[in-house]
Amino acid sequence: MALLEIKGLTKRFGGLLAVNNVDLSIERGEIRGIIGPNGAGKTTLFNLVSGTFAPTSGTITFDGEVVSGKKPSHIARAGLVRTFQRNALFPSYTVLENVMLSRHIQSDETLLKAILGTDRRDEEMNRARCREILAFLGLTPYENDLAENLAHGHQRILGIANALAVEPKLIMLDEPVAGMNPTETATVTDHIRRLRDEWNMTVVLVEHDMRTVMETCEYISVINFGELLTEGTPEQVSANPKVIEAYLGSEELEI
Amino acid sequence: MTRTNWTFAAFLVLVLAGACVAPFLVKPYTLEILIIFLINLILVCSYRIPAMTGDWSLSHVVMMGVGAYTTALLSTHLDLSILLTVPLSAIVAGILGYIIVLPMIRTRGFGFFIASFAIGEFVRLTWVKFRDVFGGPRGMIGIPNGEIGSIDLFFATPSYFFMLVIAFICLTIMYRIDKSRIGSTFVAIYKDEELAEAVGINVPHYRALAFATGTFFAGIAGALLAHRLGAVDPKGFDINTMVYLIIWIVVGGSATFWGPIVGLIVVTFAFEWTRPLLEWRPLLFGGLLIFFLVFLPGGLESLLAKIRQRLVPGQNDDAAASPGTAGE
Repeated sequence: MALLEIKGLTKRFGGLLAVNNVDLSIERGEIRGIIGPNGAGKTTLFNLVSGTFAPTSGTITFDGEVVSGKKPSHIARAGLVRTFQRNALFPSYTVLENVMLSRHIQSDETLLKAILGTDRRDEEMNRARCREILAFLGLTPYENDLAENLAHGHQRILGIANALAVEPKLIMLDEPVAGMNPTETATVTDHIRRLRDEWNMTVVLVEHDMRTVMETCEYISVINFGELLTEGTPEQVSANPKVIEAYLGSEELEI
Repeated sequence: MTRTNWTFAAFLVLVLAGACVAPFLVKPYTLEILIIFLINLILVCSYRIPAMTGDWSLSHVVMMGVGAYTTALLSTHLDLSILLTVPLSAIVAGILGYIIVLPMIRTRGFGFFIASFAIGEFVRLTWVKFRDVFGGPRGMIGIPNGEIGSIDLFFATPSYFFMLVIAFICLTIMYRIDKSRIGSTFVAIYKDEELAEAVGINVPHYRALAFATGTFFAGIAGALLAHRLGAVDPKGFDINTMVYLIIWIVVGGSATFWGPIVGLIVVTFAFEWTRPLLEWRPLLFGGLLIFFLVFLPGGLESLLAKIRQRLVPGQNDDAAASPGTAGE
């Protein structure tokens, strides 16, 4: 069975059908791209899977558990963690402290243990693991800097580090290269591939930047008007006239 | 132990030694003020626990009242010892806090502030309405001062030492929560609720936990107050008292454990010095509140942090970002 199985997913906001009867199946170890023109419903789909919205109908099964309609924290606990389009971080904490805070579910914390002072026994282990994550993403030189003082590109990567601290099975990246220059973009694409190759992680990439998606993903799902338009390899998708039409249409609108 | 830890330990020993000799040096009137100060110390520190998650409530003094009324009922009807009424009152206030916060959790920021006021008033008005149980507007009287063994806590000096021990235990526990992982989780919720939820922190659960922990300690403060005053009435736990609690926090700041304590000390002094100006006091303290909100929103602790930063450059000040001010 696939790691993430989406069946007949529908989300209606009043009269607007944002996501309409979408089926998706994502296998373990895949790097899946989800693309579509502006307003296609990518972000709504993303918010449905991560638990920010409850679907109007349809089911989401993750790792054998039905997670549709569950809270984001529950879904994160199950091993599906998202990042944000904005630079989401814990301000006035250092980079290392940020990753430590995000390691909440991996650390054993209760009120009683806090009072007895025994809740920091696994602290060293957690810190070592957080340092490993920072090293993997090349943030080690900044670990003692305040998160909000990092450059934009590094803040985006810290967002990924915070997600990795949860030790997810699947990580969903919401436009991870938004606002990055070509060098930074190349670094992030490299990180994404290494996450899968070296850490066996499944990655779902929702992205607007076509080139990044084409270069990083082996399989791409195209969404338009809330519906699944087509699926296939980057070559198949980029040669598909329906996809070209969807994107050209949107570009005309943008002019 | 590092050097700062030694400095801190030495400071703590000095404060405790000072607190132990104080009752033998001061006038009886001042000693009564010190007893109330110790109760307020527990109250002001307990307010910070839910404030760590960004939840500023207007029901905290009412929850202190829940502890006070529980003590009044337990000690007048069941004749329980002060050693039992204090923890039982705390548990009742903690449980009631957990129940009332469940609907409030759906709101945030200013909404939470107002919702807590409404629910707090609801609790307070039950004391006014149910005369047979709670004594109505005039409250309940005849609460014993309590005794431990053969020591009668009616006398100020033993009462003072009893309060000192309880306050020390409560503050130690609250300090540990503050420095624990769970304390960091509370602050993480304040910093970015959406991100906290995304990394697996069950935000409503932790907000409820923080609130109930706060009301638990407020219940202890209430129980001690009831025993000391010998009487409770609904007016003592109304919004006027709540505003003073807010003033302590705003003057001191709420980013660190020490902020509210500093605020309480400073305002208690100010309160005593302005005793001759009784009629002008609400105006003075209203002005003080506005002054701090406008010119020093981080409270006095942020001022200390700024000075330290100037003296020792390159240090991160953790007090610069205060966890939420009212109405934020």
